[in-house]
Amino acid sequence: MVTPWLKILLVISSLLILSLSSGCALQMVSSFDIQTEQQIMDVAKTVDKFYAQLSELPKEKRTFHFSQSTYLNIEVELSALLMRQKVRELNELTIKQVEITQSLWLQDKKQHQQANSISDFLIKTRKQQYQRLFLAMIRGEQAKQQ
Amino acid sequence: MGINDLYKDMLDTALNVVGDEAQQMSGPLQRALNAQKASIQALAEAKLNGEISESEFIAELEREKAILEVELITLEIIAKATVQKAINAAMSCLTSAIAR
Repeated sequence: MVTPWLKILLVISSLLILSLSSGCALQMVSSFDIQTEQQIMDVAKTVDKFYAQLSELPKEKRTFHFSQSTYLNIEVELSALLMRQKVRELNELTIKQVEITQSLWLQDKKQHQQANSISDFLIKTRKQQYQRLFLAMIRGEQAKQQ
Repeated sequence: MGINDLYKDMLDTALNVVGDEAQQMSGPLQRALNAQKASIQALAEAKLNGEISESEFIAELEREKAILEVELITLEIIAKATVQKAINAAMSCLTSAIAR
């Protein structure tokens, strides 16, 4: 009868000692990073603008050559975003989100290169999909605010 | 079973698995599944209209899976951050009570 209470007391005391001695709070996810939030918003805007510009062009002018430099710029922005996430502690979940987004971006670049054009349907679909991806990342980052 | 019933079942099943956290998670989870539902409906229409081939349709479904994964990771972050806040609030309450 006494043992369970002793165990509970021991756990509470340990947590208390840990909390008082370290003076730091329990950390399960990385702290909110305003620069990450801004970086996600910036790349989201660039991607959105890219598809908006493509949609304005006639289909025959939507060549890979026309878009190549933008694909590269966004690739670099996503790499920079990933690097920033990798140096943050307890940030595996956000890293995974950026890695998935990066791999989809590279996949889209390859698809555009192979087809050397992109349909209205795919432009609309990609625009919506990237909005969902970036919104999910922004919501995840904002959830880390204390 | 229609797509709306299917997604309602998916949401209910997911929320049952989540259990006690269900109330807090239901909003973001519902948003993620609704967004995916709209995308899949658009894909199915595009396939019917001949805008995309069968193989493109399958590739797009794979993409949808990856996008949903990113959206569900957000739920995991929200859940962890919530537990973190709750534990820290409880510990802060305990330490200030003892310090009094």
